[in-house]
Amino acid sequence: MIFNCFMKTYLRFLFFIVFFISGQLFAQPYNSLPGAQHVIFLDFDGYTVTGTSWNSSYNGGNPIVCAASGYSDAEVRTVFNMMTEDYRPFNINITTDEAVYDAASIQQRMRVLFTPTKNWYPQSAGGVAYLSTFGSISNKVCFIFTSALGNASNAGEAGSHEAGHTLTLQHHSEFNALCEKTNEYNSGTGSGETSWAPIMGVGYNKNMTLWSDVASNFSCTYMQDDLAGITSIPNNGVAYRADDHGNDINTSTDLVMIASAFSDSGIIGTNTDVDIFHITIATKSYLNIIAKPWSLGTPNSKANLDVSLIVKNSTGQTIRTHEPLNVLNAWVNNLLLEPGEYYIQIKGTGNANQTGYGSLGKYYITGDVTAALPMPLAAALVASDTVICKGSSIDFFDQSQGSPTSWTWTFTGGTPSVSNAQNPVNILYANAGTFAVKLTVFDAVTNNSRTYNSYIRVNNLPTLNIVPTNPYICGNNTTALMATGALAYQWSPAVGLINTNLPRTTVNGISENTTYTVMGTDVNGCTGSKDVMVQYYPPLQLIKSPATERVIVCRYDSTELSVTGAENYTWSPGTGLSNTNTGNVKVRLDEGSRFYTVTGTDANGCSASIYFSVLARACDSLAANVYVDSSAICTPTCVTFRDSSTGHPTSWQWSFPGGTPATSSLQNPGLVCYAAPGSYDVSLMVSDGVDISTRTFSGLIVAADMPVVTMTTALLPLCKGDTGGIKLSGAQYYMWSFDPSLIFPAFPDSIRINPVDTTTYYVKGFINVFNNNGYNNSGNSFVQCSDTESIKINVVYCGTVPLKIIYFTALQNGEAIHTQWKLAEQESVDYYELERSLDGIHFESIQKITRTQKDTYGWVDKNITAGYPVFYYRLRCQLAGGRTIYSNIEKVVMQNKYDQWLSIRPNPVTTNMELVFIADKNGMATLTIHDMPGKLMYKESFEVLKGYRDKKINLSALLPGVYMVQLKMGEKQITQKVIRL
Amino acid sequence: MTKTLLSIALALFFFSASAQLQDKELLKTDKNEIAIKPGKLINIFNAKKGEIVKLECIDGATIAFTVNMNVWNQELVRTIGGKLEGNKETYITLTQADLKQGILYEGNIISHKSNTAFKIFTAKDGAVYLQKTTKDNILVTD
Repeated sequence: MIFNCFMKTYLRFLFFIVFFISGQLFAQPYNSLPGAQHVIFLDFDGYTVTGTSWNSSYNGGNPIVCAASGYSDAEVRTVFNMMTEDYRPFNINITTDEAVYDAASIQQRMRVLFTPTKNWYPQSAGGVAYLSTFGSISNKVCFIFTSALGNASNAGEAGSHEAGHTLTLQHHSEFNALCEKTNEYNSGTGSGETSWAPIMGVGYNKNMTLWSDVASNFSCTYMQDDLAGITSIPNNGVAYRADDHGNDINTSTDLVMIASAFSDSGIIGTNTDVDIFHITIATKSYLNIIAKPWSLGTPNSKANLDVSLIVKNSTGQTIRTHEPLNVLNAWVNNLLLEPGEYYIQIKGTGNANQTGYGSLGKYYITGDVTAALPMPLAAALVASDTVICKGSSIDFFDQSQGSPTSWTWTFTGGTPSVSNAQNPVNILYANAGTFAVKLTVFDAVTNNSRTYNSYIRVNNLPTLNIVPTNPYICGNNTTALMATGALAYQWSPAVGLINTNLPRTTVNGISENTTYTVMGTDVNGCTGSKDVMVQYYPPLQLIKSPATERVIVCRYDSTELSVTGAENYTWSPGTGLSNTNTGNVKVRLDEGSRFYTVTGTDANGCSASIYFSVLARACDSLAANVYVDSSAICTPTCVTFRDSSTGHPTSWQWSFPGGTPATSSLQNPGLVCYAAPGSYDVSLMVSDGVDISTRTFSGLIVAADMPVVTMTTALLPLCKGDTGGIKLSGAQYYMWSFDPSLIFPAFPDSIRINPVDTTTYYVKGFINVFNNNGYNNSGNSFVQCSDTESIKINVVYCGTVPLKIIYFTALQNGEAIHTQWKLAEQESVDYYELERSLDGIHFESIQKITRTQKDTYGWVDKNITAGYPVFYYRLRCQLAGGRTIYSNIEKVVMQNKYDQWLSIRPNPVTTNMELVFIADKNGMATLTIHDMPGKLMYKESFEVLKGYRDKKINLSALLPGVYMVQLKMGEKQITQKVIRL
Repeated sequence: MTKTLLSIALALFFFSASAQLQDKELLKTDKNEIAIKPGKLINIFNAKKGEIVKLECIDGATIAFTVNMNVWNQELVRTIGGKLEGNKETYITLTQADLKQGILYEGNIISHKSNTAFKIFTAKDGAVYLQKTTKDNILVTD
C-alpha cells in the first residue's frame, strides 16, 4: 500500500517533470481543459465559412473558402499555449479538436479561424470578430489573418483578443489628460519581463498581456472590467475554473518530498486566489524554493503571472516574503529553518507596470531542503532591510552557524544600541548615515564575533518646501500650491484640492482657513511632509456709483464716478479721468464711449474689479443747418455744402432738388452741381440717434445763366477821325479794357469810339446774381458772372472829318422815346437822319432833321409799337461831301410807364458818373447813394427844370463796389445799381 | 396570358410595397427598438437567392432585402442574408435556431457606408426586435 502510494506519487512527479520541462502537451489535438462545456476551437487547417454575416455582408452570400494557416505543429502549440494561459482562469477548454467544438452547445462555443485568406475582407486587419457572439447562435466564427501577423506569437495575441470580442469585450484605449482618445488600442507600458499591455489593447511588443480593468474605448472614465465581462451572463455560463489549491493553512496542499526535493504547480485563477502549500522540516535545515510562472521560454516569455512567494511558520507568521519588482519569479535561498511545520503561499502580484488585477495563470514551484549540519560557531546575521529612511526600524535575524546559546548585538546609530535577543526587532535609526552592526554569538565553550561595516544605510527624509509660504484665497478664487524637494507627492486632505498627487495643486472652493499636508517621497523611497495653511478671506465686494450699467454723461462736462469697498483703487485706462488711484474720479469725455475697469484691493490683498461703461453725448440741442460756399451762382457750376448743424448729429440726409447729386447722407456732401438757372431749395435732416431736426432752405441757391456778350457795329471800316459806336448785348453791364479811343461817357451797352488806327476792343460783360436774404454763408450777397468778348475796328483814312458828335442819347418817357444829340463843328453836315432798329443791326430811318444853327437837337419817337421790349436808336449824319457819320447806338429797354426815366452812364463807372433823367415838372430833386448794407454814402438835393436833364457826380470818394443810386423828385423816385470800379 | 398579367400585377404591387419600406424609414428612425412580427419570420427562410424578402415590423414598416444567402448551417440553425433594397452597401443577416427553450432569432443590419447598424435579437418573451446601435457595437476589426 505504501509502495503503491509511493509509486503513484513518483509517477505523478515524473509526469510533472516531463510536463514542466516541455511547457506544453506533445501531440494534437490539444485541449487545455478537457471536459469543459465552453469551448474555443482554434482552427488551423482551413475552413469554408457559410451562413454568417461574413458571407452575406462581404461575399455576396457566397461561401468563404479559407485556406489552412500553414502553421507547423510548433507554431500551433505556441498559439495554443498562449491562448490557454490567457483563458486559464476560466472554465473554457481551448482546443484544436473540431469534434470537441462540434459537441459543444452552439451558445457555448466559438471557432477562432487562423487563415491567411483575407481577400474577401475589405479592411486592413490582423483579425476581425462580431461582438458577443460566443453566447449567441450566429456568426460563430472569428478570424485571425495569419498573413497579416508575422509570427505565431502575434497570432496567439490576436487569437485571445478576437475571442475576447466574442466574449463581449471591447477595446482598451488610450486617452490624454483632456479625455480625448489618442489611441484606439492601449499599447501598455514598461519594458522587459514585467512590461504589460491589455489583451484587449495591443500587446505584441509587451511581455505580460493580461486581462485588465483600464479605460475602454468608450470613455476615459469607463473602466472595462475584462474578468467580469468574460464571466457575464451573455456568455452563457463562462465562469472561473475551480480552485486547485486551498487558500489557507487548513486546506493547504502538502508538498511531497522526494530525495529532499519537492515540486508542484498550480493556477492563480482570480486576483484574490492564494495557493497554500505545506512542508514539514524534521531537522534544522536550509530551505530553497523558486516559483516560476508559465511561459513560452526564458525569460518568462509571454507569462501572465507575477509570482509572490511568502514563507510562514506554523502559526501563520510570515518568515520571508519575496516579490521582486523587475522579474516574475519569486524565490527563497538558504532560509534556515528550525524543525517544524511551514507553509508556502503563492499568489499573483503587481509590479511597476500592472496592478495585479490580471496577474493570473499557471505557476511551477520547486525546491529542496538541506539539513543544517553542526558547524563551528560563526556569527552571521541578516537584516529585514539594509537601506531605510531616517526614523525607520529594522528587524535583525541571527544566521550564525553552530549552536549559539546567547547573542550580543551592537547597533551603531540604532536604538536600542545593544540587544541580547536572538532576533532583535524594531531597532530604530533616528539619524541618517551609514552604520555598522556587530553580532557576537556564544555557546558553552566559545564565542565568535562579526562586524558588518556600513551594513545599514539610513537616508535622510526629503526636505519639502511649499510655495507660497503664506497662501491665501479671497472668496471663490483659487491659489496654487507648489511643493518641491521630492519625486512623488501626496496632498491631504483632498477637500478643496484639484489634484492630490502632483507637485502642483490648486486650492479651489474652501470657505475657511485650511491646513494642507504634502507627503513627498524621494528617490530613496523616503517620505517627508510639510504643512501649509491656506488663509481664507471673504471676497472683496466693490460698490459703484452710478450703479447703472451704462453711465451717460454730457460731453465736455465732468461727471463723478465712485467705487467703494476697497482700500486701494486702480482705474484703467486713465484717458478722460481726473486720476486713476482713488475711489472717486471725475470723467470727462469729448465724444464716444469708453470702458473703464476699476480694480480694488483690500487690506488682505484681495482684489476685485468693477466696470463702468461711459457714453458721452451732446447735451446742446439738435438743429439742422447748412453751409454753402456760394448761394448765388452762374450755371453751370458747382457749390460746396457742409453741415453746420448744432447739437451732435450722427446721421445726415441731404436733399438737393435740381442739383447733382440730388441727395447725400454724408455729413459734408461736398460739391453739388447745378446746370440750369433757377432758384433751388436745399433740405437737411439730421439725427443724433435720439432726436431729429429737419430744415428746408427755400431758394437757397439762386442760379443764373452765364452771360454771352455780343458786340455789334455798323461802322466797318471807320474813317480815321470819325467816331463810331459799338453795341453790346448779352450782359447786365460791361467793362471795357482801356483804350484811348474809347469815348466816355456812354451807356454801358453801347459806346462810342474814335480810333486813330485799327484797334481791337475788349469788353467784359457781367451779370449780377443776388442770393436770397438770410443765406449768406460766404459773406457775398451776389456773384458776378462774366463773359469777355472783343471786336476789331479797322480804321481807314477818309479825309478830314468836320463833325463832332458830343453825345447821342435815347430814353423812354412814358409811351414815347426821347432822343437828343449835341454836336460841334456841324458846318459840313447836310442833314441828320434818326434811325431805329429792333435788333440793333438793321436800322430804318424814322425822321429826317435839317441842320440848324443850334448845336443840340432832339426828337420824340411817339410811334412806338406796343409789345417790343427793346428799341435801338442811332443818328446818321449825312455830310455834304457824301460821307456819312453814325453816332453810337442807344438801347432802350421798354419798361412800364414812367418806370424807366433815369439812365446812369457809364456803368460800371470809374470816377465821374452822369445821370440823364426826365423831369415832369420844375422842382427839387434828391439824389442818394447807399452801399449794399444800406449805409448812406452820398446825398445831394438840387433844383431841376422840366425836361430832359443831366447831372454829373464825382465818385472818387467811394471805394470800388456796388452802390444803390436813388433819384427822388416829388412823389416819383427810381433806384438803380451802379458799380464803382 | 391571365397568369402573366397576374404575375406582372403582383410584381408591381410587390415592388411598390417594397419601395415604401426603404432605409429612410428604417435606418433613420428615431426609435431605439422596433419589433418585428415573429409570425412572419419563419416564412422568409424559404426564400431563394435573388428573391426580395420583407420583414414586417409591428409599426407597419417593412424592410425589404434581396436574398443573397440562405444556408442551413446545421439541422437546427439556418441563416438568411441579403442586401437591403434602396440602401447602398447595407446588409442584413438573420439566423434562426430551434433550441430547447424555443425558436431564437439573431442577426444584424449593418451599413458599410456609415456607422449605422441594427441588432436583431429575441427577447425573453419571444418577441423579435431591431435595436438601433452602431456598427462599432456589432463588428470589431482587430
